[in-house]
Amino acid sequence: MTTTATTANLKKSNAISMHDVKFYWSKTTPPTLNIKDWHIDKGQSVFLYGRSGSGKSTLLNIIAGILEPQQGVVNILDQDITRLGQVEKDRFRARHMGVIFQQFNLIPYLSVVDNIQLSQTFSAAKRSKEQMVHLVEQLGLPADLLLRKANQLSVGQQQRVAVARALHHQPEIIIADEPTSALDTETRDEFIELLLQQAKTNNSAVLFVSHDKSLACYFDQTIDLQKLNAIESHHHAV
Amino acid sequence: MLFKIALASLINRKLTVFLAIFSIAISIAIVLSVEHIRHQAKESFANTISGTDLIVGARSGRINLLLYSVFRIGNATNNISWRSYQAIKQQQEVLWTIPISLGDSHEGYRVLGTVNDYFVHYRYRNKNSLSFKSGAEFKGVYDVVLGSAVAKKLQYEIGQKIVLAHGVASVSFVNHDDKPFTIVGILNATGTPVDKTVHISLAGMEAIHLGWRNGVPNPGLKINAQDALNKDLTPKNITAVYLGLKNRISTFSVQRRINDTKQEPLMAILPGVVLSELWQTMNIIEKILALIAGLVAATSLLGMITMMLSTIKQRDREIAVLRAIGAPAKFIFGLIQLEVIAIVLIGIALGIGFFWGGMLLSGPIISNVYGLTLTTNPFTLATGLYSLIILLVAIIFACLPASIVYRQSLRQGLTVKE
Repeated sequence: MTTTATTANLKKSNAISMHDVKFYWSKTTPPTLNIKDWHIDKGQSVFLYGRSGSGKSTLLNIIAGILEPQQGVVNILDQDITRLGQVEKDRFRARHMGVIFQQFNLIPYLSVVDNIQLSQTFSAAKRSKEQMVHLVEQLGLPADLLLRKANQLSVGQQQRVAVARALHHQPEIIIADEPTSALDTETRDEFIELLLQQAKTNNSAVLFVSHDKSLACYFDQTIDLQKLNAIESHHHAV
Repeated sequence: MLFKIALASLINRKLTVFLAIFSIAISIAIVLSVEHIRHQAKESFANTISGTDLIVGARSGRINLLLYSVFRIGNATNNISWRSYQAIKQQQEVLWTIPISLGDSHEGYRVLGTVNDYFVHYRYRNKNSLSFKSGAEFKGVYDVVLGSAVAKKLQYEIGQKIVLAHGVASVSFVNHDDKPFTIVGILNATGTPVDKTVHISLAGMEAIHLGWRNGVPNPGLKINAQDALNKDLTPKNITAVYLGLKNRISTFSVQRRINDTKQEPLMAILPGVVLSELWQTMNIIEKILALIAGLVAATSLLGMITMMLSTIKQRDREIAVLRAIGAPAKFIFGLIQLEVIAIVLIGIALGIGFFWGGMLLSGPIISNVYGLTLTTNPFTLATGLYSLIILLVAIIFACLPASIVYRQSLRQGLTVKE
């Protein structure tokens, strides 16, 4: 973890940085999230290990600008998103983030092309069809898949299309929430490699959340959310 | 993109969406039909009689006089003497008169004693006059002219002989079977009570009642059909008179003069005025019809909203995905609204189609059976207005599922509860 003194210098290259962030679901309960000081560099891939109930969905929702912490600063690309209005947050998320879920990443009744282009619609990014086809090829998907409906794809294919969608508008940050839990071991490893490789090409930071510690080896940095989150113990910071 | 998603989403749920569209189409068709029928009924009611400036009868209620003289409903409380009729006829403002005499029936259809002027001067709907489908007006005393419905229902043809019954009950105990009438004419359908009327001459009416006292035949005075022709067949009484004036401006002065007649208690009414009074009394039926149509429409819209609400649960993930991509909550709200609007618009178009088809199919039948030519153009102001109202109500209703989804999308965030 960085110290307060170096934060200012590093801030410029941070993809995400959080200071004194506290989040309460209600006033009477202790905070669900309490993060003193944390950041991810631009282009860095980070493995965030978190068991269920460790507050990881809350953290992801705060980073995505859907939940707002009661206290603290959440800088995404040097922009304190807690200061943005709801619509601005939505636009900011559309422009600078790509999100990949565990499963059901796609609108089932839209074609693969439309699903990928969705991110472009909200981010107003100008990307050509050729760039999309290229990306899809890079992810090892057959080109004829593009016109098929999302619900006709296998889970593995759906997850790769999700990567394509998350990357197509070239966001600075990729948030992946257990994207491999529905995949078997072989496709899982391949998936992570493809994801990280494409993110690197694009120079996107990756925040990969999982409860499966064996995946940590693929990433630049590993963080245990339970240690980061100062709700139970206070020994991790500084 | 919003349109594309909404469309794809609707196509994805074809069956439920189709049912919702269908139910809305049916309700639109019902609303339009009810409105159309109401409008046409009012029109045809108001047009039952036209061109007649005044109707004169014995002094009683205005609506009562209209009911028995035009609609053949109920009975006259009293008659007009032939002498009074002559006095009215001779007034200088009067252009024509049609004396009528009621009281008998045939197979439940009212018998109307009148003169041949009836076929000349009687007007209905936009000054249409009566016309003969076959045959012609009366020549002899025992001639009868049938309204179209009577001829059709009883399957009568020209030349057939019929017996009239005394009184107006459908089963009569006293028949005028000694003096059968010959059918000489059948009228075209008019869509008015004329269709259900059996017309005979005043002389014929007088002939069948010769030798009657106090409404029953006097056995000692029985006169056969042939002998009756030699008697004086000038009626002593008639039931009512239709008046046509030379100038409509004199309507009120003639009416006042008749109402003030000293010799006999008479009353003159303006049929148009009393018709609209009568329609007012039937207002409640109109309102009930409109209410039922409104309820049908509301029910189908509620059904559609129920469908939307029930799919919200299944669309959790879809919404989480859209939100994650950066779709504003407003977009989600708009998506639901757009789907509802699409369903309703297609429903309206289909409903108008049903209504139009229904009118085109039923038009010839109605015109044939009831003599009513209904307008078949579905694109009237009323159609547009009702469609717009239904669309607006749908949009208001759709705020419920849309706002539930909106709030859910704000609260739920990126994670989907399994």
